[in-house]
Amino acid sequence: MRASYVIAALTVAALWFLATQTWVPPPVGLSVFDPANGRPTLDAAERHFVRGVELRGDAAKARPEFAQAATRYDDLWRRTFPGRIRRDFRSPDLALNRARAHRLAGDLPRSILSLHDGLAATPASRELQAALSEARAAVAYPAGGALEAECRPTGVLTVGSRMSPREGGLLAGGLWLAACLAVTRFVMTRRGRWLAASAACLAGLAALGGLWWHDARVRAAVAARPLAVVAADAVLRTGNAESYPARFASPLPAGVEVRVLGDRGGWLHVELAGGAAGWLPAAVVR
Amino acid sequence: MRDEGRARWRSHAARAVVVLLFILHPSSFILSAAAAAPPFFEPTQDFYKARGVGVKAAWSADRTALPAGGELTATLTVTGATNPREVVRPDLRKLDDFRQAFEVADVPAPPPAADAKAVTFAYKLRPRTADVAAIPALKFVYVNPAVSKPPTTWAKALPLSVTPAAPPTPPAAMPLEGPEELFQLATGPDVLRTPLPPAPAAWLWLALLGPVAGLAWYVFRLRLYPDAAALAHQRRSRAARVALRAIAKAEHAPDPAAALADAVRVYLGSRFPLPPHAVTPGEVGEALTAAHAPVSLTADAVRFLERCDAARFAPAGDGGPSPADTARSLIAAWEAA
Repeated sequence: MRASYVIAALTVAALWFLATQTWVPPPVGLSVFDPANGRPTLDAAERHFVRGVELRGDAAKARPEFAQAATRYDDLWRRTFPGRIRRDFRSPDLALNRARAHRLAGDLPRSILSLHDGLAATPASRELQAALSEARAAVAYPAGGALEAECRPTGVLTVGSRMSPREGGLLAGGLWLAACLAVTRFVMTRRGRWLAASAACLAGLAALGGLWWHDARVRAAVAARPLAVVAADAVLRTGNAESYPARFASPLPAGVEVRVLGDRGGWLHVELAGGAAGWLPAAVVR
Repeated sequence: MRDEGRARWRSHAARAVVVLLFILHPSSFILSAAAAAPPFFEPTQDFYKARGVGVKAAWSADRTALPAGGELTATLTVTGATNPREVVRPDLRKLDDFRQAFEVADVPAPPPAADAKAVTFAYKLRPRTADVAAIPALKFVYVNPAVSKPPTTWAKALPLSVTPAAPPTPPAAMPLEGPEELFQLATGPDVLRTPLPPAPAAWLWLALLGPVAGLAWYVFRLRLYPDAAALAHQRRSRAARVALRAIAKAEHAPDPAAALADAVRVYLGSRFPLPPHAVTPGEVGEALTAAHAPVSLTADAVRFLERCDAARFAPAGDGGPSPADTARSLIAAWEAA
């Protein structure tokens, strides 16, 4: 039995080692400077954000500070560092700060878009999911009627939204390890239940693989139609001109999420969450 | 002389009567001119139809200090007019001094009584600039029937103090509303730390980890238990598995030696036709010999059973391998035979 404990300890250590190898440290030492004043962009963003919080008693003074912070967080979010492994700063915390800065600057649509950007990078982030739900609650969706059903977003539940790739990798590795150890134990004891345990682990591994395959297909389908957010109240029309009749009697409120199907002449062909399609001026969509 | 004086008086009286008749005659120009208004000598400038003797005009105001852009009520009071109901309101908007200095609005008022001693006209005046220093003087011409030339009076200028306008009051500050979580800022190294999916090399490591760990466990166990391989092979025998389980339990039995001996006897009984009365080591040895069992193994079995008996009825302390290990080795040897 003592040998079993030793093997288990070694296995846990190996899993921990592999888990740490899936995290790439941030590009320490890279120059992240604000071209305006030479200060680190992150420091400047945090300074503006903190200043905005201090001025929160006066929205007219606080909003410009948050807007400054949002601009710098946007800059950080866009930065990429090419190399053998593509590096960037797209962490859940940065996405959350960016979305909060936009929201407090009074730009709810861009805040929603920032949260979607964050979730595209880290779909399983609980904090980003909660923040997106809260931001959607601030959108003035039409009360009742067909338009409300069309506007309200419906989430697609996949394994990727519940489990990060790292967690998935660890679970898969654990199942595979358990299956291999169960086979070893069967060789030692010739007891059939160990073989059954190994088969169960392999079945779990197959199921997990199937779920991730489904997740990859859903993400590919979503990525094929870029997300956009309505920035100001706009009428959804049946064609790409003001002369076309409105698709709905009421305009789409700011903050409604749409999927872009195409564009023509300064108009975007979009699809609402409920499936209704129409045209919006490109100027009112972020 | 007296007659001459009387004649002169009569002549003057006659002239006076003629003049009086001339005046009183319906076609008299003098009388008609006096009755009709305006008289031919009525002034055209700064005349507001006032008539009388000793007409006076004066300014008064509800306040003499006001901020730029503020408004005051100025009142022009005309006294001494014999025709108060006919006096007309001076239109200050047509007077340059007033038009340049003030925005003027009339304050309507009911007409004065016929026998009023004074007539008042009120105005709302708003200084156009902070440089305005006074309500200007107003020239007031009126008609005095007793004199031929219309006299003029002045409503004297009324000093004012116009202070610069107060800066506009900024709108009340509106607090930034929102859930408290919105105002929380994530800081620290994690802000710029990006989680990446497992690299292909990590998947390879994970794929290799299972077989390597299983193999390591197997090899490690072989090193700890050298005969474990043989036992594992022989456990295909159900009798051996049952015996080994009994041996494992016997270690925790109240009388381990007896339990071990029973386990070995049951095993031998399942492999060879031992008679029910073969209980002692000697009887077991004889039965095995009769069943043509290997001699050396039979001797080992007998020795083991004797050792068990000794352990039951004699104090321990021979210092050899444990009875349980000996029993397992015995089972392995019998299975290999």
